[in-house]
Amino acid sequence: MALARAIFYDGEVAEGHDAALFPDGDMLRIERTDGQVVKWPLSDIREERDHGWEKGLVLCRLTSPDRLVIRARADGHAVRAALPHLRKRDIDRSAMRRVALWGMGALMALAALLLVILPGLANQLAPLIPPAREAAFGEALVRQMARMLNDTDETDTPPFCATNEGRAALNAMAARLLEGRNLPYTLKIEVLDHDMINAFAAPGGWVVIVRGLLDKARSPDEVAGVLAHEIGHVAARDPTRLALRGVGSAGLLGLVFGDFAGAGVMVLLADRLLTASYTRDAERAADDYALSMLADAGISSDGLADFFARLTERYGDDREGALRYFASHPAPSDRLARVRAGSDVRSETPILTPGQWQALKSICRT
Amino acid sequence: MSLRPQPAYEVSSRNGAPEDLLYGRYTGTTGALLILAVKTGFLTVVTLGVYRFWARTRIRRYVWSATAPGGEPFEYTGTGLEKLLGFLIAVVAVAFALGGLQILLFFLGLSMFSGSDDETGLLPQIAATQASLLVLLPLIFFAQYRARRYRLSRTRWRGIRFGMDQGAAGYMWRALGHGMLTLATLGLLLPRQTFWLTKYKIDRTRYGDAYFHQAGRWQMLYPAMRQLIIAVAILVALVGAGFVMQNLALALVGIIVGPLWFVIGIASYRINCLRIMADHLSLGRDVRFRCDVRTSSIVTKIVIGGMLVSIVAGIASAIFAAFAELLIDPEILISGQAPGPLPIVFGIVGILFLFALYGALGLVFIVQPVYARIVETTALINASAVTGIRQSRQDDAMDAEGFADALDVGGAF
Repeated sequence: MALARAIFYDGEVAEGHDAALFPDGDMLRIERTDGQVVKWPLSDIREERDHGWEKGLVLCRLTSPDRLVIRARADGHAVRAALPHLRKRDIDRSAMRRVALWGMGALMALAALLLVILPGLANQLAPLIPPAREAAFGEALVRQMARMLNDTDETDTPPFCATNEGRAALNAMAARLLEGRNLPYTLKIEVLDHDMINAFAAPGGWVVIVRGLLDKARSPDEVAGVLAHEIGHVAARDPTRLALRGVGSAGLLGLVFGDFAGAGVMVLLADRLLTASYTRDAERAADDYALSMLADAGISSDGLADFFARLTERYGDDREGALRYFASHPAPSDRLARVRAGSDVRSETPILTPGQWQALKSICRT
Repeated sequence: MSLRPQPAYEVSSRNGAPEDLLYGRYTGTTGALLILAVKTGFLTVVTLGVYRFWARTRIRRYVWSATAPGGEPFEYTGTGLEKLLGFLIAVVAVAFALGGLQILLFFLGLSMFSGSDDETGLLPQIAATQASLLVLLPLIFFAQYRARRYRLSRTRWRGIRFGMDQGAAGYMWRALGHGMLTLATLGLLLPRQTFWLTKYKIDRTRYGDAYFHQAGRWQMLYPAMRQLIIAVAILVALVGAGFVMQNLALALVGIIVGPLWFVIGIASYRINCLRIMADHLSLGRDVRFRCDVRTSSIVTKIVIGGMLVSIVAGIASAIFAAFAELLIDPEILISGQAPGPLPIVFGIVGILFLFALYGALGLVFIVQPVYARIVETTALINASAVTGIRQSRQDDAMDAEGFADALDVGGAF
């Protein structure tokens, strides 16, 4: 009595043969209707998984191209009951070894690229860009940023503040800080009319102070501290370096995560993680630069410390656990501690006269 | 008048014997594929994308084995592990080129930057970044050919392997040349591109020891462009008439209807090409093909599938939003404080899961019905001649489809 009926493909010719299956000790005997008999060892027989043909069952033998197609549902049940190893998982050890080897190679290549080669390339290339071009690029970015913040039409001039007295005060402050220092570019400082408490540097020597920062500042030393920090970014050519670095690594991350649904989110997260680690280092370096700049100019760093204290107070310091690694800046409390520990210079002569300070604070009122 | 060219053969055999036809059958079901696709999609998300190689393998196993010409199923013998290996090889090969290239191009763009006029000033910048895509284009054609070769080498029917000869580099140059020619002629030579590139791939494809052969002329694909030409005509005629008659409404109708018709035209072109090319396709000396698929039936399936996808996706998104609202206190969002880590983790995982579901829905409600329709309207002629075909050797293809995976040109399955 046959176990089941099947169609047998011998793996040599594209022709099926009707056959009957019989269990035969530890073998499966396949008797073709044309009289030929084939035997498969039971332990080598597997079924094809994830089958899109619910009634059927396809049997194959390890490392062999012959196949058995069982069409009737009842025959399928009988075969499943009689053959114990149909769903056994086979592990291809040599393939695993190759995967492990190439995996290590790929990891090392990626690590070398992301952590050494791309940053190195960016650092090498950044000084080669003509400063004038960089400044033009920076200006375009600054205008873009101004438009985004103020939601103005493209044709409007960006809302930069420029009362004569205010500008004079700002220039006096910058001149005092820059005394005896060489920057790779001429410094271009603008004040942007917006409530946000912020300041940023853009490629080519651009520093933008947002009005909200001036409004909330309690002393000129505080503004001077922030300005010194942004000048630190300019001196290190951070904006250009980070832009170059970001372009290279974004392409690579896209490569690694491929095209599965949701890969875009993964690329975004990984990119944020990577840039954040770059920028946190740059921020620390800029803080250190600001401290030495303030000390050289004879200005107390208490202003900068006050600013960080205010940031902590306003936005909290609660970047706990893993989320910390996604933040682009170090925690304000860490920065505060570094500034407090860094310097004990007392301001000799105030950086701005009370009149200049008032002029700077009202630079946006015309 | 029928636009369909006359087939270059007689369907019935000489002495009036019954036609020796073998029609395709597709046995896959919506439910089974949906469960498989959602399950493997979730696993992919949870493993940060590593499982995608196994996910694709399992989906292909399902679709291949549900494809059964004359009731005899195809078989997909690829494995997830070999895809992972191929991907790793491709990463090592491409990573250096890609990362370095992009940074250099950006550098060049920045060096040439002259942005006095701010808006146009960003253009060379953007152009330089996009240029890296252009440099990748040849590699993409290369990868597509390699991926097809890999898929064929892992496909069997009646226990006999398919296969494809090497030729990725030749394909890359031809694809570039034809693509540029088509662009330069504003699409007028598109049939030429379609025909010769398809023929290049078909003529290198084999089943066992028998090669496929693509006959015919490229001009025979012009009728396939009919809907595309109508779309352009509608656009030009309505917008032109709108301008001449100072009628804005007329021009607007042209701007809306023209592109919509064009999209249908693209689907129609591809389906008609498939049908016409199949009529001139042969395997070995005796086996020929026919394909009776119609544009209207495919477009109907795409439209219905699209509606089903948006309904199911909408319901899933609404459920996610409701849960999110339960977990995250709106007060926190208004006050501008960062929410705690738990809602953030829930949000990220939830969004990733939603993406997995969206991916599965497109496969189940659009790709599978369209594919099934094409399979079931395609037939082998002189099918009994297949029994003379013998097994061929196995291709190694160690890089599997790693290049295609790395460059995101995976295709439907």
